[in-house]
Amino acid sequence: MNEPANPKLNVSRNANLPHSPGIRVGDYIFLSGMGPVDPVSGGRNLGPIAEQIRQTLRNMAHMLESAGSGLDRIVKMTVVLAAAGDYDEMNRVWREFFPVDPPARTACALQLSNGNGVEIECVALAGESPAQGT
Amino acid sequence: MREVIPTPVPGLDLRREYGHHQSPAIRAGGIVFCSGMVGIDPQSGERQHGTVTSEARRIFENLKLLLESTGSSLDRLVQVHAMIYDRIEYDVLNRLYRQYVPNAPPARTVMSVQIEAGFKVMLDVIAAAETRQPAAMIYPRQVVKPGGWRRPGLPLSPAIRAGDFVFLSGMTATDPTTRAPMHGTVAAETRQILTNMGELLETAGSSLAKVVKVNALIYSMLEYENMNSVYREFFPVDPPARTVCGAGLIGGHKVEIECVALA
Repeated sequence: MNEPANPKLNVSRNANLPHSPGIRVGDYIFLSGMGPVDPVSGGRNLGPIAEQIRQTLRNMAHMLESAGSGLDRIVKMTVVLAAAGDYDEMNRVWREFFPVDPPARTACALQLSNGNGVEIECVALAGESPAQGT
Repeated sequence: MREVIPTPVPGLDLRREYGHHQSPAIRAGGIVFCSGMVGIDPQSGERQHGTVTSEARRIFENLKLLLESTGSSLDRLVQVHAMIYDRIEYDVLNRLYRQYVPNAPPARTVMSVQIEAGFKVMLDVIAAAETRQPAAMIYPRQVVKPGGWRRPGLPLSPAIRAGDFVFLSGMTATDPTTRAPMHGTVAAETRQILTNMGELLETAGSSLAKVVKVNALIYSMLEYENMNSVYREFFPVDPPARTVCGAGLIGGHKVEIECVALA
């Protein structure tokens, strides 16, 4: 997959981690789990959970758009929250980002690294957004 | 093509009762991706909390309704993430699970996590689609059986090939010929798992170099770098996309890794 246009969002390279930000195979793009990285500083945005989720989704949009896809091409998302109590906040933010036909989604609560409140990964269809398909 | 699958019964749409902003399932490129399913009454959408057995049975029945409405079925399951509230219930889950996927079961990873609303079980499922028309469009689903490996005494297949992809079950550090666990440090377990994974993928006509996405679970995120140091050796250039979480693992293992690879 193309690297994200904003190099601050290339977390795996910046933190020297052994994974790629995303991989494209055939019709699909698989993104690595992403946390709320600040696109300006490259540091963690550890504000209120709703803001962390928004930040993460904006970053994912950037990654997908860098690869010629987009949020509306996402097929499946897996959301890991650090606290199960943040479910409703997550759903609230979800409605802002996915007003119609939201992706299939699984959410659960687990231990996360670096004090992140959320980490999200996805499988998306590659290709131009939004016209192609359906 | 990204196609939202409408619910065959009203209760399965969690948007309706609970405001969970997610589609029940989406089909794309011959594969059906389902949202995490919990024990919900399919007609009323009412939550049906119960035991691991009763919740898992309800989930499988709902899954059957959902998949069959799109021309797929429980026989077409490819990969399952089975989430349970406490790993002590692992065998309870397995007993029920066997009834629903008795033959050629899907690849599977079990983890203990916190599930929404006090549920005890959640299944996160990927299935092979099947289009009834045109008749020629049947998407293949094939179990991968490595020769010389002892069959797992569990309701899962080590790997399933569906379409262009191979989906693996979560792998722990074991001797593949005897299935004896090989407990060790995070580094040692990671090495054993990735060695086995390479062998399994090659049986499926794939390889570590063709891995697309990895999900790694470790017992403590404090050991993150200990896993990474070994992981780097196996994926020296252009590593796969990856998600790592700290989670409760089964059987005293420290690491569990699953992946999706190009066949």
